[in-house]
Amino acid sequence: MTDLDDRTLEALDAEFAAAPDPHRWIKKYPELGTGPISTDRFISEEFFERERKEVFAKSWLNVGSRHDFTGPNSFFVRDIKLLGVSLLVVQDENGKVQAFHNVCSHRGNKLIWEKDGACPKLFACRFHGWGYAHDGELKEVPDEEVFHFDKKDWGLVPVRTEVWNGFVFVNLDDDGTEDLHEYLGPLGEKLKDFPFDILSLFARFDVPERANWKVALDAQNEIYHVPMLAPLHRFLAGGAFSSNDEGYTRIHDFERLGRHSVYKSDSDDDFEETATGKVNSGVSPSFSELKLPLDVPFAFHVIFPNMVLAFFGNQLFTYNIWPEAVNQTTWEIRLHYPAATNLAEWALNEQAKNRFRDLLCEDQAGHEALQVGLESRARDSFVLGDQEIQIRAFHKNLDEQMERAENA
Amino acid sequence: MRRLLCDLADVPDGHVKAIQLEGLPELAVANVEGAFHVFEALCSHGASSLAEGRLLGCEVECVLHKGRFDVTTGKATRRPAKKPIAVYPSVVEDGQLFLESDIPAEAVSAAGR
Repeated sequence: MTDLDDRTLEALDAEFAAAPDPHRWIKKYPELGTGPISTDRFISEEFFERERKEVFAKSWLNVGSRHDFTGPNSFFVRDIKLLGVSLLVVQDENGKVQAFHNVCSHRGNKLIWEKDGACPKLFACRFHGWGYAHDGELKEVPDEEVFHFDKKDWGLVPVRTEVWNGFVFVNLDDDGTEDLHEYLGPLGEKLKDFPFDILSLFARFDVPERANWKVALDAQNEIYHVPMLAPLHRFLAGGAFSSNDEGYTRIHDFERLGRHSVYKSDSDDDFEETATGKVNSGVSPSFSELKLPLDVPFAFHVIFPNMVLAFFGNQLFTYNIWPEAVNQTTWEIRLHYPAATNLAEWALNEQAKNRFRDLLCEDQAGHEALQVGLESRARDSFVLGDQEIQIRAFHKNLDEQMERAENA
Repeated sequence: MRRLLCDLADVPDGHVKAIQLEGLPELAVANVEGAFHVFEALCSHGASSLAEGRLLGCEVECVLHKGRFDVTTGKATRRPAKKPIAVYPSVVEDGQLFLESDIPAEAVSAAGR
């Protein structure tokens, strides 16, 4: 048994070995269908507006994690360009996290311009010096006697905020009633005891891309491309992305988890560790041992709508794929590793980071090329294979969310 | 009986040449720093001739999906290629390359297909 799945590893392996069915996953989830996906979803301004209004404005969105705070009693600022909001996310001295609209109540100025830092005594506006406490309460108004109000009515505007396993989520729908626990559903349950606390944020990359946000997500949401895309992908393929005799990748498992989902992948039986990998495990065998309770080396969760939480050996990587315009996206990447306790371990983390970064550069070039092709409207739809099942699941979830919101 | 594959001068160092002999699948000859290696030309992954591929050290790269094989052993060395290709014993004599008269059955079947 593992923390990630109720079935035994033996049962999973037997299922995998016994079912080389090329249409395996659609048979498990026939509701996902086998039809083509429209090009319009990636290039239509109208569709993009529906996503903004019915999905992003009404979903729980991950805006960072406890690692983004510089310590207790600190803050970070998160601008969500798509929704036209800036958030001031504050962690108090007791670890309680609350997000506010980063807007001074006086004249609407953006309150805090720094990206993060220790909480000042008061969050003070640069315009006229209004000051707010860490709980959002308006404390200081210069020349207060000239105003006609009760200060307690003019604190910072809070945003619904919850923390799950150290990940900070906000929901900008004031009318929403679903809490984060309900929203995460079975995915939240599966990972609730996962030892995230042994991992530290090691690196973050914010990658601007001229592509629709779903192009970036879809491209990452399958491993069919891994043996084909580019040299580093091919080179590392066997370590976590098992393939059949023809060299075509086969996912190990796929599950819909409410509006979220996960696919997993195993290593190839004949995978030979790379020369670098052998050197690395020799440098610090105990550090290189698998520390996370994973049944297979790769598990890629999509937390609807735009967060990816993926395990890759001892590494946790997260993506927050932020739409900014129909063809402009910021792909926010965070790499979390077990904390290094000496220079050799730090060097191993640094090496892993650089290798992964170079791998993702290969992906990024692909994302932008996809957008060019889609915008050409050469085809009004395109096709997905059974190994791309999680892409189908994601688009189904997207449609269902928009329908729910529009019918509400 | 030995069978003539080619003149050594036909395959410069770092190059691959296609050879067709009656009764055998298309073959390829690679010159790796003066050592000649003979292998089945058809990529084990897709319908493409490795004789059209480039040689990188002792590895030949398929033009179709960029899979690679070690021409000295036939082993697939880069995805998406996974199954090996057959390699054949050869001899050099008087500036010419010959296929060994007796190709062991296991060499022919080494491609695993």
